[in-house]
Amino acid sequence: MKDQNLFKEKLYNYTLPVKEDIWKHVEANLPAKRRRLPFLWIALASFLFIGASALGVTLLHKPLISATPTENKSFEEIKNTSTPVAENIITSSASEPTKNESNTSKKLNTTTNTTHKIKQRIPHQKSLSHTSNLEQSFSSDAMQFVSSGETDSRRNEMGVVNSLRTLDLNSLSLEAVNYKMAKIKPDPSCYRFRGKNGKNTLSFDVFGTPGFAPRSFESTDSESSLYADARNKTENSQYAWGAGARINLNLQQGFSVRLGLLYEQLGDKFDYTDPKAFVKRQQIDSFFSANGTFLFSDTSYVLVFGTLIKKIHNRYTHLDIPLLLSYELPMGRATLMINAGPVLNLTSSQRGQILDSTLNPVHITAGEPDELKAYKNNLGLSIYIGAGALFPLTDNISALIEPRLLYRINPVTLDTYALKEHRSFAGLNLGIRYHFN
Amino acid sequence: MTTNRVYKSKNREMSKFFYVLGLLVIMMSCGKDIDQFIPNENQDVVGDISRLQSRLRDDISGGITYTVPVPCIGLKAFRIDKDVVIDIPAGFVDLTQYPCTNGSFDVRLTVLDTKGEILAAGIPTISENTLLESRVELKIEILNGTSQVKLAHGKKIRILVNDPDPRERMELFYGEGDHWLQADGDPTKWNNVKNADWWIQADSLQNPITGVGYETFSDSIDWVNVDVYFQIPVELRTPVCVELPEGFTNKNTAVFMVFDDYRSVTNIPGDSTKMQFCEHYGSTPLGFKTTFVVISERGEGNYYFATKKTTITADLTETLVPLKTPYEEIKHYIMGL
Repeated sequence: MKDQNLFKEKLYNYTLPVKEDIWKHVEANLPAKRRRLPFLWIALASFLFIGASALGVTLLHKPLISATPTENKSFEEIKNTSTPVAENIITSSASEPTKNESNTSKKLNTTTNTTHKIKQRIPHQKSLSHTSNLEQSFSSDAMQFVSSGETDSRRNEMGVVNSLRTLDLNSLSLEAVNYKMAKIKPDPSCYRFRGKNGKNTLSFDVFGTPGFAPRSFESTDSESSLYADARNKTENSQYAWGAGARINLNLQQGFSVRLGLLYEQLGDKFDYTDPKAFVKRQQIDSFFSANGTFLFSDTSYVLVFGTLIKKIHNRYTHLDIPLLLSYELPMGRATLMINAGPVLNLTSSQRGQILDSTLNPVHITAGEPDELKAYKNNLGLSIYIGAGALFPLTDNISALIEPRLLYRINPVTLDTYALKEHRSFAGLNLGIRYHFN
Repeated sequence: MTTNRVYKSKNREMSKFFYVLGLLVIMMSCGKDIDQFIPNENQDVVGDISRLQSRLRDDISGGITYTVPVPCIGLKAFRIDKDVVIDIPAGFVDLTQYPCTNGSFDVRLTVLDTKGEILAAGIPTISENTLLESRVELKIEILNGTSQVKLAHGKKIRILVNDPDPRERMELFYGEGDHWLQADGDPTKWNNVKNADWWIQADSLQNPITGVGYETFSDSIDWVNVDVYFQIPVELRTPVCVELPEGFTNKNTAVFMVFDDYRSVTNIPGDSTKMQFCEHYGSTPLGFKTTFVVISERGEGNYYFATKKTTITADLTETLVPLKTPYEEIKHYIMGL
């Protein structure tokens, strides 16, 4: 016990000097910090770029990648066209090809040659059509990973291809080949949800849409101009958002038809202060005789002066059915799209307060005693224009981002109202697309 | 596995983004509406008692006001009301100062000889902080058309008041604001009102004017009064207060003390320090039977009224609650006093 206490006492305050470079080692072993960038800004910036690109591409109408047509080409056509296409892509994608790209090019050539050899070795009477499919898959897969540039996925698929290179197809049954082929799954990072073999596919979009709703008044004379000014001064736009869902029928050649439901909610703030306001209050008076006995009751009105303050959150809601024609264009991992078409308003409603033509605040809410019938319940036909992009998230789900404009052709106000109010909606659809198998 | 992690990471980022977006939308959508009317301060309807008093005065003026044309040179006697005779002397108007353009001057007289008339249109019967008993209150005006004319210097209007049982110590008072001043200015003398009887033949066409009562001469026009002081020792007098609910102020309310057995009416002004209506002079005789009358106007045509009978006790404070009362009721009550 004594020895132990002696050691304890001596070691208790003992410190070991730290090496100067120890923190460098510690720092070096720390995991690299994730660089967090605000997603919204990146999304917006990239989206604007993508939108502009899509528009440009659409106008030029010159697809960068001819992926779809190859699916229906014969083996010979694939054999003759696949290599040059791949080479073109690699050449055009980077002015100074990297080692990986060169290797990929070589491997692609090898794959094509090997496939050709396999074809020669398979008895023609057995399954030319199956072989053709097999080769077609090889070719299209090879093209996909070349264009995607994903190193991991490319490595995986190359592994499968290499395993097939060394495979003796004579020793395999057709079922085994098919089983092996079934193992080759598309890389979900590569967008290719379009129907194969000319089949139309379905997908479903759900999205929310932050946006804004610019408003303008059309005044015909000085009186209505004053009224419009008063409304502009007392109403400020607070927010605008929408939500929607649509089902997409993806046709051939990149075209799609979409049918859905759009909901919009626009919020304004009606800010009104009248320091010279008055209210008329009803009061019931009982009258008495001089000796204090009750005589009768009477109803009278009293004017009370004061300040009227209104800060009302006006809300305008619209429900529309869009019928859109779309063109989709695969570009790298993403797919660009433009959408346009007519939109039919189902119903519109509003609640809140605005100034009437005598510049007094009145309700626009249906059913209120002082309701001003200013707004239509149905806005008729509108036009939808949007351009966006899809980014694959999983095998069946893609992220959707699409700026769009819903242009209301007709005024939102009734003909009997003193002003013609025009109000459209511009927003950014943010959502997901589910691709049905 | 790597791909799955990438998906999860992407989904997490997307989820965060949608949560924030949703939260922003909800925050923007869920504003609380403000829709309120803030009444101006001090906007309670104050009212104005002078409007009610003017209305009462105007309504009863047909029965208390008389206008008699008097020749430019004067010399005219006439009976007004049932008890008052006015005898206008010759040269009652200085014609050099007030030319007689219409061939005559109008003499307009307001005669108040009931407590109700005094309350509605007259001056309370108080002089030098002492209660008076009034025989009659008169307002004499000389008019040339619509303009007022003054009595010529040194001229006096003879006033005769019928009273079959004339009292001693009657005096002539002149009105001064809301109280009376002795005409001779001497509280020890009361010789400016005499008991007399009269027979006046104004002209050949007129029956002679006869009577018994008080005779006095006034060298002043406007308000004159033939009154007598109550001879009450100071120790037998007391201040009196009336308490009213909030909102009844001296701006919109008048409180009177009417003596049941005498032709005396005093007003009780508002005392902002006590928030009461008080008779400050301490001139109210103890033991007198009185009726407190409260009239109030709180908004045009919005009248309140209260009465209460009581006997004066030392430092009396009565509480009254005025009730909304039609104007005709108020007028009828006051005229019946």
